[in-house]
Amino acid sequence: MVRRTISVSAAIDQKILKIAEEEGSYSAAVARLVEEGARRTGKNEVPDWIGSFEGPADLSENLDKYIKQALKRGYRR
Amino acid sequence: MAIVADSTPLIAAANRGDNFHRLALSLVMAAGRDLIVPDPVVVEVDWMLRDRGGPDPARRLLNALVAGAYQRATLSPSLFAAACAIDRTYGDLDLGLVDASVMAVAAATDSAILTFDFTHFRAVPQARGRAWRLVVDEAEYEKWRGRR
Repeated sequence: MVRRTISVSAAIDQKILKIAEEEGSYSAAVARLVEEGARRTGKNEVPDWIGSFEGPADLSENLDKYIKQALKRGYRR
Repeated sequence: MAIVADSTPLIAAANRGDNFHRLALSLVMAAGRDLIVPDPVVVEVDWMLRDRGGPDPARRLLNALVAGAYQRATLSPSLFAAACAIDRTYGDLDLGLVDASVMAVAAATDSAILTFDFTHFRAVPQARGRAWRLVVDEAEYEKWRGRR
């Protein structure tokens, strides 16, 4: 566990207090909300391998054709 | 729910010029760590990305796999035998080890399959004649053609 001191606006503080009433403690409510937010943010990050090159428009559609072409090129080398 | 990935959606996700890039991107992002990539698929995708995009796109995907962004499925002796049996049983279709390994892993893990190769995956039934659960069907796939 890591302890941090953070500042939040009064409006956010009121919202957390409301959630904390249901969850039992202020710090538990903050920890849950931060974890939830962090998970959501991570999920929306596009990994760097996605869209990492520009190839033919029909590459996935005609994969067998492209594999055969590549093999032919390989044989000629 | 676990999802076993075939090569075609991974290649479409890596290739930003692909007609089905948007669809592949959405599906791979939605699956996240629930995505299982059998080793023969890793090899085929690595090979095609190097052929068309050079080593950088291929290494980026390999790094994501090393970092645990997706699950890898190594073919155990029994999974390898199951894949070979599927390929042999449907010999006329000439499936090959890659498609057959996707089917073998999906059967063993009771997973859905993420593929854009509907011909092979519709032609081969699961055990007891059941059809494979495909993440995307032909109609939905066609809706995404060329969408940017």
